[in-house]
Amino acid sequence: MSVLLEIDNLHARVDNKEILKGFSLTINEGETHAIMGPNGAGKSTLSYVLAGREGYEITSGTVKFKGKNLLSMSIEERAREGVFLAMQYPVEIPGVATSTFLKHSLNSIRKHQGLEELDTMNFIKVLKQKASELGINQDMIKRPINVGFSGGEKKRVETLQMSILEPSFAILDEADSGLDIDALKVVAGGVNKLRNDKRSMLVITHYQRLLNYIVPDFVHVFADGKIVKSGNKDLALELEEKGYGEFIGNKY
Amino acid sequence: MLNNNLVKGYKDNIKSLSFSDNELVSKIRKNAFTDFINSGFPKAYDENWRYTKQKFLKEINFKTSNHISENFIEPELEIDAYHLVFIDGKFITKKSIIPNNVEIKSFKNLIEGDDSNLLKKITNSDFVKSSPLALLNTAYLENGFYINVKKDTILNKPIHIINYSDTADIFYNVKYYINIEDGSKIDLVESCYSFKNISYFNNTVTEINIAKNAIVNHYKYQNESKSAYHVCLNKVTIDADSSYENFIMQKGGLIARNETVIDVIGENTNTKTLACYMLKGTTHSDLTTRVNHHTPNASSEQTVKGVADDETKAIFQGKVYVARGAQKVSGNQLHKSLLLSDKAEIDTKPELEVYADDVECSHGASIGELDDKQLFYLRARGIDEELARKMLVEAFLDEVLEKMSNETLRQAFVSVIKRD
Ligand SMILES: Nc1ncnc2c1ncn2[C@@H]1O[C@H](COP(=O)(O)OP(=O)(O)OP(=O)(O)O)[C@@H](O)[C@H]1O
Ligand SMILES: [Mg+2]
Repeated sequence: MSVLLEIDNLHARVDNKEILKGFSLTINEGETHAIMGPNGAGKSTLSYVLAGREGYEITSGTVKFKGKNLLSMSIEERAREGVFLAMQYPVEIPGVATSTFLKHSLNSIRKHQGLEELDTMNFIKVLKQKASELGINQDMIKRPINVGFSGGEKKRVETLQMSILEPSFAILDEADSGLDIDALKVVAGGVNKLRNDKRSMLVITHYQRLLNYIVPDFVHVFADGKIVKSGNKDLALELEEKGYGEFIGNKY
Repeated sequence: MLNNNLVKGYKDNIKSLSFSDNELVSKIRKNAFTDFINSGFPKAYDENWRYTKQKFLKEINFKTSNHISENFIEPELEIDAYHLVFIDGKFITKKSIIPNNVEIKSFKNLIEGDDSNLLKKITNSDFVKSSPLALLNTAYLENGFYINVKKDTILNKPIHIINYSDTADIFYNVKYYINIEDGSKIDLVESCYSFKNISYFNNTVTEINIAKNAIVNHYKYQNESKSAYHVCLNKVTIDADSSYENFIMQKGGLIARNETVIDVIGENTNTKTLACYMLKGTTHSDLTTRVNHHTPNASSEQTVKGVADDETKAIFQGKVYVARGAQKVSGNQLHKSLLLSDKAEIDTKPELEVYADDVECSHGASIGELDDKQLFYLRARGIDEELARKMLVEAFLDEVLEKMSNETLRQAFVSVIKRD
């Protein structure tokens, strides 16, 4: 089994405040890892740092993706190499239709991979097919990205993007927040459909319930900027029962 | 002070213009020139010229030219329309396609037909007398049109006035005088552009009189050479039950100023002035609009959005004037802009001058930057930074374009933005 992502002793700060304090994690191809941890631990920060968002200062540590230095790549290069971040708070972009955006996105990635770009007709065919699988109606795709979408709709559309772009590594930052029970199953189903022995996932969540649907290979407890405990899926059940107190000491 | 070539060299310049031996034309030009000398260029303290220093007008030393260029490049706006083609301000009959249900007379037609009353009327309105650059335009009068759209005419295609510049270092003046009679419906499009990096001075004056119950869309695409001076003055009069929609896409020029004055003189009218600008390099763009409500029961809207990149400067001055007794007028004005570079500058001056008490007027202005989060989101999906910025700019401007009522023309403008 080969290594897909290797994060080693990563330290990152924002506005002079250290958020990641020696974070290390290795993910092999085909593995799904879950990260759980208290509010403010730095989970979203980690996901942004991996996706390349500006404003974070990496003070030490390395990140290798498919053997290459991920930290030296631009945001779009990372995406084209196969990194996908489903955001905790997807961004609204008035004036840009979801379908237009996704077509540009898919074609940028296909071009990078040496594949032929899809014309509008073929793209729409793919889009409609995947959207209906996720219970997203056609009107929504024509609307501007995320504008006026409900919390749950935003999460569905993030999942839709992932199924169209077929990344090799997906970070799902609270993909379950705001989802009703049925939607949770739909989104989890969409994610599971993508799982295979090459594609890896990093699932960030507060609720063990999601992990009943997306069953992880590993669960990590993330507190105060690093992983403080790792285990298998049973660790999530244990956390649900006992809370984080045991793992992060006297803070709770 | 007035010693530049436009003034000192006037006598010589005039000789190279057509119709110099026509007595009436000479008289009209000479009178306008005398009035211009008396008024001078716009003054430094003129509020209308507050952000565009008129100094450049005195420094330009271009000449008129009698050369007729054969080069012509099709306009960027791809629309199915009648064509009135000008190259370097000179009307080119053989390239034009004129509708047959509209009376269109070039200045040549008017002069040769000895229609002295009409000629005087269109070159010597009160509006012309009140504006130095309009006087200068008449003093150099050579090319232009009188267009009369007869009662209840519905034009099946737009009239596209195509103004292409090909020759360097010249000064040219064009005049359009357009009458739209009761019950007519017409779409007017203007393109002012050049594909050469040359300097020239385009001084155009347009007067449009809209009678009752008419619908007029008047759209303009400005993409002059990066070194050109473009000073256009529009005067529109709107009578009862009519609507007038103006749209300007402002892109090119070294100094590009577009001033529109709209007088609403009848009830139940609708006036929209829309504009967007996309500035690069060192362009200085000035959009100045004034809507005067002289009569009650009317609505007017001004929506302007634009982006200023590099070392450009964008100005929007918009004024809504409501006369005493012009009750139940709604006048709304909005200017939103994005600064795309540290060296760009945006000046905005929205103004209301209201003398009636039962009116609904508002104005707003904002200056911002591209949204980091939105840029990140697009790039995180593999879209390169340049395209991501372009998509966000297009989306920003779309809020103006989507207000255009002629959908076919709107699409043509949208494709120009996308091609950019
Ligand atoms: N731009 C910023 N400036 C200052 N502090 C920041 C900034 N961004 C994040 N932080 C801080 O970094 C810490 C980690 O935030 P982060 O969003 O990564 O937490 P999280 O683990 O995702 O929390 P949650 O579970 O609530 O989503 C928080 O204390 C947050 O306030
Ligand atoms: Mg978070």
